[in-house]
Amino acid sequence: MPNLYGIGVSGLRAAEVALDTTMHNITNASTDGYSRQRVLFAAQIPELTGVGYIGTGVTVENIERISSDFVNQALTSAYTSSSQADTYYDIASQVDNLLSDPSIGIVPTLNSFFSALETAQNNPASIPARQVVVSQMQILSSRINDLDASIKAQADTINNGIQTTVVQINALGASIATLNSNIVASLGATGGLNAPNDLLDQRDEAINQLAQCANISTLSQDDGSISVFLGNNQVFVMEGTNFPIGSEPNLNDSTLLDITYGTQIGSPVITNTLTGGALGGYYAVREQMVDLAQNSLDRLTLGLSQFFNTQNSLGIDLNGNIGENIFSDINSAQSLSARAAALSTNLGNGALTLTVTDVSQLGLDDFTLSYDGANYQLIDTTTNLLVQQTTSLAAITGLGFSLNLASGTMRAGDMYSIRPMLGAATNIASQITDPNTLAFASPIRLMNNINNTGDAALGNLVIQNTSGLPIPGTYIYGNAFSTPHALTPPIEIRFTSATTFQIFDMTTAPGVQIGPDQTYVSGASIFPLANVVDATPPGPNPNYTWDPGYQVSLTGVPATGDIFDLTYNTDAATDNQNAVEMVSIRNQKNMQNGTASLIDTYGQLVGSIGSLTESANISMVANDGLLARIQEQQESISGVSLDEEAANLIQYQQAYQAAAQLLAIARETFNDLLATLGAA
Amino acid sequence: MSERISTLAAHNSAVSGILTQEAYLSDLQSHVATGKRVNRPSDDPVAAAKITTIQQNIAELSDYAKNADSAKNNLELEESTLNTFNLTLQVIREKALYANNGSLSFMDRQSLAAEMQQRLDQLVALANTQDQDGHYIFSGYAGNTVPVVSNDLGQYSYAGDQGIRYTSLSSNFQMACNDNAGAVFFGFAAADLSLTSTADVTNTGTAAVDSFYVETTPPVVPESYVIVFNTPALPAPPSPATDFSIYDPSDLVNPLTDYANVPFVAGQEYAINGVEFSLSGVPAGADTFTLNVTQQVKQDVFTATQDLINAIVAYGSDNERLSYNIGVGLENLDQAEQQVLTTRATIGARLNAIDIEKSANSEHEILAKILLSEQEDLDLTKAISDLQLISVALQAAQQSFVVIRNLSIFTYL
Repeated sequence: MPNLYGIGVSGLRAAEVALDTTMHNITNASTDGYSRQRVLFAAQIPELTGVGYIGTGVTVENIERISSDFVNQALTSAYTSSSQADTYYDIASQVDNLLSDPSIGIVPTLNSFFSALETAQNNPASIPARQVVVSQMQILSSRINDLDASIKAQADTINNGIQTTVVQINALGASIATLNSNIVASLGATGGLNAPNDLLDQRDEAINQLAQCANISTLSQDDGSISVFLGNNQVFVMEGTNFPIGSEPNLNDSTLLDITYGTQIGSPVITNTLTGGALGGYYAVREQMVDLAQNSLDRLTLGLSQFFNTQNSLGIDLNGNIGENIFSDINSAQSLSARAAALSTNLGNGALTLTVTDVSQLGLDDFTLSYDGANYQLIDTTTNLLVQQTTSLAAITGLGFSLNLASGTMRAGDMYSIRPMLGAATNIASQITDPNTLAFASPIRLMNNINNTGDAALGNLVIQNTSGLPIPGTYIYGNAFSTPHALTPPIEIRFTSATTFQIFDMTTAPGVQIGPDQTYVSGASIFPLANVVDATPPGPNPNYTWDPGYQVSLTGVPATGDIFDLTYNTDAATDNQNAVEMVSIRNQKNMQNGTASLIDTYGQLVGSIGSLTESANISMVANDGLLARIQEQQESISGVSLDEEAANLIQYQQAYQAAAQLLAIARETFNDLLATLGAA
Repeated sequence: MSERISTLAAHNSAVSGILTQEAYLSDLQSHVATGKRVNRPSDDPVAAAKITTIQQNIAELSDYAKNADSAKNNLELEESTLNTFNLTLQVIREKALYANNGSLSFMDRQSLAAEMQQRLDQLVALANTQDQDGHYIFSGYAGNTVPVVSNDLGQYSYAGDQGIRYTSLSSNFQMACNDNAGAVFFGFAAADLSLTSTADVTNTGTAAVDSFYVETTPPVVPESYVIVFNTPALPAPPSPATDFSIYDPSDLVNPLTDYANVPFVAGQEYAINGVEFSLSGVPAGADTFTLNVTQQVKQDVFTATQDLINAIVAYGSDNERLSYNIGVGLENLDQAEQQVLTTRATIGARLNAIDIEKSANSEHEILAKILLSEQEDLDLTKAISDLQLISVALQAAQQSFVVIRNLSIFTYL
């Protein structure tokens, strides 16, 4: 029967296709993203004959790709989450390591510095003890510089990672677009009936790799192409075209890259929408951990510098000079303008300076200042909340810094990047090389005259201002430190009775009384003096307040005729009063609005970094676990089982043999027929 | 659990199992190697923050221990110096008492005075003691300034300041490590009397008070005497006054009993109530002089001793005057000794306080180290047994991987 051959051949061909497909599966068992293929057999259209419909054999209807769109979507989003968690944890664990590394850790060095100060406090005239303090200051500054450099290295790593990922994203976008075109063309060539399975696998694989880079969403189109959207539905791939993304330095922080939608200048920034995948991980860890570590270290450095610089300036050194800065000035000219940088998009040319006034009020966040022509708005860049809105720069207070327009004019729409702590840890350096210049002594000597008959004594000396300039305010004069190596003027206090005393300016003997007679209150500060008559000609002049820049009090019961003197503290080699004050900085709650000491803030940083890293680890393990589960699921649907394929091989081999046998039988049948006919 | 396991899935799950065990093993190893439970802040963030604080605490406590030792050194040097000082004072005292003996000759007293002068030099040297760095221990803050100095007249003064150097023995306890000479050797109540005389500005004569001193202890102090020279009877020219009367300042009309119209001889000593005075020159009528006897307020041990020595030298032949001056000197020395003893008592109290604080601090240090160990240290036993457990599990995983790998139909085809 002619059908016999047809049927046999169809069987052969079908078995052949099946064998091909099985071999294809076996050889691709290890290919990433490969979905196993299965042959769909269908019986051929039967032939109508007089005795009914007779079957005409088998045909291969389609080679089916076993793949579940539902699971694939789940897999894609699992890739995004797990990649984000992995990237985050990668960087986080390095920052975590930094803080515990004993060779660049801050805590042991800080403790050594304080120990050196305690030893010097016991023996303030000892040059070796002072030298140790100077050395410890240098070591501490270097350690802070090192830790700062390491943190900045992490930021660099993140930036490099971002750049590499952007290149990868664009490459994947291009390849998805090409695959789209090829798939549509291939699908079109079969009239939409037969899908190019391997191309589909490749496209899925590319999409999954893209999902590891950023958060995406996909939409299948009717023509077989897949449209890919980045972040908040930014079109990334549409049919055969991809829209590359670009990167540019962030306006506020030029050490961070922003992602732009499009590569031309002026493309919109879409960084905030990229919250998943490797990019999301990089941005999150940069903001939550690297910026936190950087700002914490900078703030700690500012505190260290300000407290010690201020305290040193309230004492005198072995040469009798008022102390100077021992660490770098926290308000150096360069820092002032770097901390309040104008954005490059500003139309005006106003240049601002930021002066740190009170480290204890500083928080950990940076700000953006914007000017709308009348009002200034200060916005916290981490929370994006409005912190202060004022009509003048001077009215921005309470945050630990003050802003000032140094030059130029601001125009509406101008914005400034306000980073109060910028550069502190990079710039800190020890300013002292000569141990004699550590100001451990007090600038003022208190003398209770030996012949006093009462038992009152001077005490509670508090030096407030050694600048030599008048205390700010109207009609306030008298800062006692305007001339080097002298108290201007030296003071003598004379009691005219047990309850009243007079204050004398002892520049020239026997002294000139300052201000009116004073009433004695035990323990009360004698200065500033109020209502001092100003006799300078021509007059009349308003009364003024005399504030010498220090406070001192008398306690006890004085007698008439008792005398007390305040003079410049020359030759006070073994005076340790200012050293005692310096040592007390260790335990003072002088950070964070009076709630934490220097070490406390560092401990908080350690705790924060530690717990962020710990939860990043947990999140990574959880997300990787979820990914593994979904991968298992996908594998169980689409993965090749070599055992299954081996069984299929045997099955199709048998089918082929059977079909071949069928042909042999058909030939024999034909030969029989021929033999019957051809015997005559 | 799915029914169908692809080859890749089976391989991956076996391998990832092995990798997880290996990672855990290596993490555990790193902890065992350092002996610490917290190698990095993420191992236990709360403990890591606490560890920072505890480490600072321990560093501080060790600083306080060093401060205590330094304070102790300073105070012990001071105490032994003051001990020697008082012993020397007692020697001076004995010699002064002996000098009062009426049977001693003038020369005997001179040699006693010479010995006492040597002892005084010793006192000054003790007051000017320097520590091992060459700083004067009794100068307050002026460590490079010699504290006790004298002028040509044998008067001593204190050249340092009143600074007290504190050191911290704990976070809220500060200890004074020094005393200054002004507080220890100067400023006690004087036994000496202060004698002053003034001449009235309207005086026309050339007389002046020549000598004025205490012979025996006056009954009343303070006291003042007004000497008024009588106007001579001769009419003119004005001639020198010949006698005078002594009045109490409150009553210039009635002279004091026995002191009306005393004949005047220039240079002759007159006695009244324990003091003696003489005038030189030529007084005119109505010339007035005022003599004041007041209590000196403050005295110091060095000037007092020098005055005592000078008196022994000067009045070696005047028993009564010498006796008075030795009495004053001994009283001064008593006061000085008392003041030094008081200071020694405070030093003793301070040394006690240092010992108590030191032992309290060392207890605190032990507690802090225990706390640190609790937070930081690894439970080594548990860790090592975990290590062995994981090793066994890893071995099992690896071996089973090899077995499963060989199970495939292809090996039978």
